[in-house]
Amino acid sequence: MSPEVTNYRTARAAHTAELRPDPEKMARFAPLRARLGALLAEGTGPTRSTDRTEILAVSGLSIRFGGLQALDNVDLVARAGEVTGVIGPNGAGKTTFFNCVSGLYPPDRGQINFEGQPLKGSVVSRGRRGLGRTFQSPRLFSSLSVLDNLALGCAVAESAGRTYTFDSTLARLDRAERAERIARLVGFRGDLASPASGLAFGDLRVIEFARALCAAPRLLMLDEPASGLDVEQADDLVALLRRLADLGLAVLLIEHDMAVVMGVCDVITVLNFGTVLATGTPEQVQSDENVIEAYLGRSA
Amino acid sequence: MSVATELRADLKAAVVASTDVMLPLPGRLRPRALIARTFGFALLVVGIFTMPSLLSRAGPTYALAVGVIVAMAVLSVSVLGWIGEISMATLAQMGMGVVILNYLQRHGVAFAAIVPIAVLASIPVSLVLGVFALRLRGVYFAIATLAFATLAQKSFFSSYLGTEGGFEKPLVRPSYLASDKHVYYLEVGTLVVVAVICYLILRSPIGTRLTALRDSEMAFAVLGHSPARYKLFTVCLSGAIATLAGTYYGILQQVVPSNYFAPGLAIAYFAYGVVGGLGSVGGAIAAGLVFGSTPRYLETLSHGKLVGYDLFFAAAVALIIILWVPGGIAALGRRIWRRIEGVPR
Repeated sequence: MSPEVTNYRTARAAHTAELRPDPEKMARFAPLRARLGALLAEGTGPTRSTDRTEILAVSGLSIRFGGLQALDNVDLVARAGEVTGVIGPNGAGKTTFFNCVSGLYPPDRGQINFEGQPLKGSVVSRGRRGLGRTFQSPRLFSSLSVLDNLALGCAVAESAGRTYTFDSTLARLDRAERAERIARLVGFRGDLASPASGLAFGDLRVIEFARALCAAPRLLMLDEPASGLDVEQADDLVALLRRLADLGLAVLLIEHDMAVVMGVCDVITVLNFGTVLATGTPEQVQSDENVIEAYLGRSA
Repeated sequence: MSVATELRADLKAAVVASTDVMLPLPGRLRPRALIARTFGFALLVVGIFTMPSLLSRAGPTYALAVGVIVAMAVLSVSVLGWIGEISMATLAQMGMGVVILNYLQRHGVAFAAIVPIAVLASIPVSLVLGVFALRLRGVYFAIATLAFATLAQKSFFSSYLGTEGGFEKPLVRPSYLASDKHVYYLEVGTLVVVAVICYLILRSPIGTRLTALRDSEMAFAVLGHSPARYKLFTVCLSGAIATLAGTYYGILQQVVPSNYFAPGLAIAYFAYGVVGGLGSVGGAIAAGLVFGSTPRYLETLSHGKLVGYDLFFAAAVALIIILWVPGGIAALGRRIWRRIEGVPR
């Protein structure tokens, strides 16, 4: 075996070990999820949406970069009211998938439908149609204040005539009030007038998330939102994602923190070397032999 | 990180350094700041009107008039800094102003009508550069604009304006602009209007979007804002200012050979923009006045011994300012003004 292959396998094994669900973390999310479920069942919380419309339907998506087949015939469906997880090791094609859907990469083959219509056109037009996303490395407008960052999202919602699926009362507020409400909703406790360049990493993620929400998306694509968050922020994130989905938003989530993924996702698609290894509920994915063999490992 | 990406990051840092924090708007000012601003504004107005007389011993008003035109050209460079781009076609766009002026004068159009026509006529040329801006970024856009300027120089300006002094197509001043002093006042008035427009744009939602676009074009587009729209707007604004500067340069000089718009000189104008503080309105104007006027005054004061040393002077001053204050004159001015107003750092 060549040294390159040995090194790759060692690195891959180490990475796979990192991805194994930590029983302690999993236990941490169980009561939270139960509490949310009870809240929704009692009817004291927000009304749970029963709408399970297909918001995003991807079929046969393929893209090649030179000699690398980054995505090969990928199928995926994201429904309103559900959190759909996309997991897999580094280089599996998760972010490439997001980039194809958001229009940053033109796929070689495949069909993408958004709310029943083919998703074509520029990145800008997709954003205006209600496709919101965050990035693996937060991309805030660092020279602007937190409020200005959020207001730019609100401006898109207004000019595109979009309504807030997750809170219809937001439309009645002016831009600054709406931005503040959403910032507080995602758990930002800092000063909205402060420059975005001065935010801690966790807050950068939170504000990027809030900015995407301000644009009133129908589908929210989050690329590793829990990365860099502390335990409390990650707990809040899980609760918030669950709540947003329950209010009718379709959420597509790339995440390496298995506790978050298993704690919040309704459906999980596992990618490996650009192909779909498995799709199913968290329980189905965790017990899938292919996933265990290639990704989660036997000790999971 | 590629060299082009690093250069773009440096450029962005330069713009941020010169425009990081704006001074508070009137209405939220403390009494000391209000007094300082009122006094500063009065001083500026008095300075504009008395400068030609005050500096008459040091040199002719022509030197000041050239300085104001260079200030406009540098402002054109600085405006492109709002979207984090560098143009090397500023002088070519100035040349277009001279050509438009000459062409319309030969067809009997009054100067008062030529100025707005020149501004409007700059749009098609700017849109060509705008197409470059949509496809290219950073150093690649700069090279494309340099190529455009070179092509314009070799294929158009050389034949139209001539290389031997352009005496066959002299430009005529209207009677109300007979003296350099009158041209100077017209230029200053126009520059004030242009500067106020630029300042208001920066303060408006458009300015916020331009800043966002400069910070992350990808995030800006993904959110649903059109980078193309704001890039084209900025390139057109920058082109209009440069063409306006060229029109006034034509009326001031009256004889303008094509070598005045040599593409390589655009590098010097870009340097003036950096020294002023890329993206800054006030810094660009200050840099243009310093680099445009001072060499002419030095020529007069030295009885012609320093003729041809203008770029030497510019290089020395630029070096000192860049080493001393990386944010340029804008950052220096802001630092001093904060001290005057008593604003804590």
